[in-house]
Amino acid sequence: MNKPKKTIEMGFTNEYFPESCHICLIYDSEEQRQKIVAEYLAAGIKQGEYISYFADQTTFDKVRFWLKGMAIEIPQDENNELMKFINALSYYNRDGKFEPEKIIEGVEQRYDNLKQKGYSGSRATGEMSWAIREGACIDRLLEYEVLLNKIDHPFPHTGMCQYDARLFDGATLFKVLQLHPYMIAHGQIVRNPFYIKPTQTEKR
Amino acid sequence: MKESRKKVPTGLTQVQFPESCHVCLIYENEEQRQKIVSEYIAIGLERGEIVRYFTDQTSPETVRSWLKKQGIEISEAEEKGDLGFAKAEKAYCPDGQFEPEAMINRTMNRYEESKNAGYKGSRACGEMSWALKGIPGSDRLLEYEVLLNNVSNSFPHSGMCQYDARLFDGATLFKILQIHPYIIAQGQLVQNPYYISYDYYSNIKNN
Repeated sequence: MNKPKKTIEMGFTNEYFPESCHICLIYDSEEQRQKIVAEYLAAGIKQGEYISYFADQTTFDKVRFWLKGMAIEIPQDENNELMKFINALSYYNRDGKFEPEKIIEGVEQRYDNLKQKGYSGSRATGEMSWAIREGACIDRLLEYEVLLNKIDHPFPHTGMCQYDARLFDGATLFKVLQLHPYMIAHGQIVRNPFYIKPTQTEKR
Repeated sequence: MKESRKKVPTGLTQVQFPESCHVCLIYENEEQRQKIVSEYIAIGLERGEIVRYFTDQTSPETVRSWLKKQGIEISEAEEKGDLGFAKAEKAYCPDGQFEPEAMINRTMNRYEESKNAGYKGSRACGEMSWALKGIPGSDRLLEYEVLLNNVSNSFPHSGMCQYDARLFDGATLFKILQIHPYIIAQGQLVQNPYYISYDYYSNIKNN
């Protein structure tokens, strides 16, 4: 288990990062967001990773358009080889209920399967505003974010959670900020000084 | 000018920060906040600064009790005027409306006066929820914070703006996070990676 972690390109920064990186993107302008998300997706595609986009506010055509601007042609099928485009609410809130443990269950195996299929890694991004829709639950989302930080077995999955600051209340946004080891500031990935480790969360 | 580069202890970390330090404290629980605020006040008094606390949600009695809990005796400091409490509404909007330039002038004057009176410096701590009460001009709060960053090089005043995350909406909180060069993260004073400098901010505003 002491094997050095593989580092990968994120797309919008020259720095390389560990393959398993849980990143928070808080934004209040579409322009900021688009640049980062598009470059993040493009870098994953170029590196031969399995890409999942969990959408809530953005259409598939829009994301295809962003990538087209970066000379990447995504087929029209939402379940294509380059990128899976998934409705966030129906994925997370399956059967009308969000169960963080179920979402995380089996990730390791899923990751092994991807590797066997020839993908070099796995990268996802999600628009977290699905959690403020009717029937969803913001508290469980926060639990899910903590669980993601707790996965300690080798699960080299990169994830970027997109939070539109205009849609969340201040208290939730401040909690979100404390649950991601990495965050994006000025288009760069930085270690998040607000991050509270799961063990510390439990003590509180 | 040379003086403004002076490094002073803030009471929150071993690292010394510039005397003109504009700090943002975002919090969502009282316990975190109590400790930080009382340390911030205590170290100011210990250094011989003039300390002002602008209350909105908290009464002076409550703040006094926090300090007492930390073993800090303040009755003498209050008597001498080293430590003073004022209602945030009155301090930020003395004429019933908020004017960023006027507020900054008052802060600069307080610094001058305190230096003349033999104080080592000036520090203020304010509860920013006063800005949520619909007082005319309170929509200029962000403008004020940015302006403060621009002038704080010329007068070494330290200030801590307290924002209760439970009272502000996400968009405002995110902007607030971007206009303070220093923030408190997990009880430590750190340089804020989200901070947007004054020049940069003016540029995006003008474009």
